[in-house]
Amino acid sequence: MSEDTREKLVEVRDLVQTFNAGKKDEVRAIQDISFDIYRGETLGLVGESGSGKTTTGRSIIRLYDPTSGTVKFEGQDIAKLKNGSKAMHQFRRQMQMIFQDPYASLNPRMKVKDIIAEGLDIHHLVKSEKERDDRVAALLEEVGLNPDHATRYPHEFSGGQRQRIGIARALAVEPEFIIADEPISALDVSIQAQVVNLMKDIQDKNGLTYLFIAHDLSMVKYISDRIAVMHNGRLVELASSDEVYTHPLHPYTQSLLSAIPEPDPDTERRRVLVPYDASQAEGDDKARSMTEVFPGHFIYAATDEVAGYQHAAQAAHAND
Amino acid sequence: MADAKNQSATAMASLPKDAFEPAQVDKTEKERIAAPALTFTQDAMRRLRQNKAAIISFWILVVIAVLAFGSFFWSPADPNHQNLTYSYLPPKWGNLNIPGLNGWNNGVDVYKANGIKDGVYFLLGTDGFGRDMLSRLLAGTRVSLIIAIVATFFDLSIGVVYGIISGWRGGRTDIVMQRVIEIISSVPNLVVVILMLLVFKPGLTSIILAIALSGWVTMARLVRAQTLQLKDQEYVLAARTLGESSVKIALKHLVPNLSSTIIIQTMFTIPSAIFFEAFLSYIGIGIPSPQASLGTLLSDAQQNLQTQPYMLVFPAIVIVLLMLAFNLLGDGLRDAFDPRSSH
Ligand SMILES: Nc1ncnc2c1ncn2[C@@H]1O[C@H](COP(=O)(O)OP(=O)(O)O)[C@@H](O)[C@H]1O
Ligand SMILES: [Mg+2]
Repeated sequence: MSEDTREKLVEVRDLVQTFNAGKKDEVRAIQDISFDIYRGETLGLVGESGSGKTTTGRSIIRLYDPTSGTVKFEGQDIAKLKNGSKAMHQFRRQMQMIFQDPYASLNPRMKVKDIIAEGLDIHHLVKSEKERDDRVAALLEEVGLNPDHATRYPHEFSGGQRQRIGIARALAVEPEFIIADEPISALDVSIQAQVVNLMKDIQDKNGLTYLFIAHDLSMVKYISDRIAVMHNGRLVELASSDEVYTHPLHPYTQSLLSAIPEPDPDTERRRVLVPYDASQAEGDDKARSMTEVFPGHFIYAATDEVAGYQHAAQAAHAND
Repeated sequence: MADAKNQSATAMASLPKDAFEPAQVDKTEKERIAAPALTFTQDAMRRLRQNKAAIISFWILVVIAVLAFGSFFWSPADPNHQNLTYSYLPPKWGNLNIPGLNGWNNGVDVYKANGIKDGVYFLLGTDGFGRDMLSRLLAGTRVSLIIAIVATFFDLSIGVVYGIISGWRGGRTDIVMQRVIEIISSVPNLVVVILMLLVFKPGLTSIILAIALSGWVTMARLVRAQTLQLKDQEYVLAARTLGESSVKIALKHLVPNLSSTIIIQTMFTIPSAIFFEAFLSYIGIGIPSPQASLGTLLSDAQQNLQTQPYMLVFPAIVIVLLMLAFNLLGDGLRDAFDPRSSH
């Protein structure tokens, strides 16, 4: 298949993340997920709140040590990087994160220029105070903020502006891969599109790869090349953006799509919510795994369900 | 009514269309912030200045500190110098005839009765050994303030560091460190001091050691609790994804955001340490005589309470002022640095 010729930047295999293992409050946040992210693409990761999206992002960037499974970045197993080692230092430059809460993601006691320059200082990317200021000004400009505001404190900025500061901080170290954990869900709807467009522009300019996490499908479809749907700590469906949107196969994805409001009042009136019964498609004890039921379209299915999904996929495509 | 409507309609109609054009506002101009840049600390200081009780307390403490430490260099008399001819003289402020400060006690002009020379007088009187009470009070206050500094030092050096390490490392380290704190705080301070008397002579050393051993425990607990919250903040996670070292994260991200807690807690540790020393000296296992401390002054005065009440009044006023001022300033700082906490 054509996709296999593209370079895999991130390879997640059988990743499991359990919190408080063995205790009463054990949480299996991620239960055995596998996927690849190709260089230059945007992979959207969607799922309801609590489905394990943030945990997935944080395990990939090694804020958490995975319980089991591997995460490879450029072919290198990141779990093997030792804290404080040179390779780890390098990895910390290559992968960056944009956070969900624009109010909690900037240190209230630091000036904007010191927030943005934090990575520059850690990785010794600038040699003089002047070079540092210039670089910060350029970054502020790149994310559409006024460079004169470099000496201000975060509380003086709006949510959208703060999110831009967070983006500038991530860009400062010139990463290859950025995990954006619901970067727009805390923002006003009017601001959301601005930030998404900014991220798209930056991606085109710098050839970045994104893992874009969101809890609803509408904005993700706009920015993503492929979409992975997550539920209860598992991936249930993974396919190209259009495919997920037009021919969702997994009942959970179908339910998620039916929840998107339509702008047209006539169609909105006719919209029917599809309820999702998890006990049907993932709850029972059958062994399931991600299976390719149509080229490039993966579904979390048991062996006896595959035929049904394949049939549905072919039927859906025949109607095109 | 209808006329007015018509008129305005015709007036509107007669306005040329090109009289208006949309104002062009530069995009960067729209996002410009015009307000002056206030740091968090400046903002807190502004709030603090509005709190009269805290400001008055602050200046009272400054005055007390200047007088007490100034007495290192200049004191009216040697605080330990005895002169039995001057025994039990009440306060006398020169020839000002202020009741209570005119050398009279129990209806007698004590200075005259004892044949004290004209021109010799003691502002706060003398004790049974003829020692100048003002000098003793200054020396005693100095001891209290030294205790305050020592307590602050241990709060900051042990308490803050212990709390940050325990909270930041978490897991097993945290569990062990918290059990240690529980053991320390389950032993009453008084027992610690009494045990130390087995090894050391009573005095400043054993009080300081007791404070070093357990005075920082509350600070460590508060700092740990807040570190646990802060370490999950996204700006700390961001620093980690950038590869910042733990020490740098502690200095750049944790300490500045812990500073309100630290300042406020220090303001509550100090008065309790001062009171601890005064209490130990009062019951006779703190600063030994003949050295002055607020506690020894109070305990000496108590024996003569009925005959020489002036001996009790002044040390009592000083210790009350110290306790009140530190507490009110602490309250003021808390309201200024943590506005949400004020009810
Ligand atoms: N540090 C943690 N300790 C314990 N449980 C956690 C932790 N982080 C997340 N969880 C739990 O893991 C599950 C997945 O959370 P999360 O990844 O944040 O979901 P999402 O980002 O999709 O909303 C939730 O049930 C959450 O309560
Ligand atoms: Mg999340």
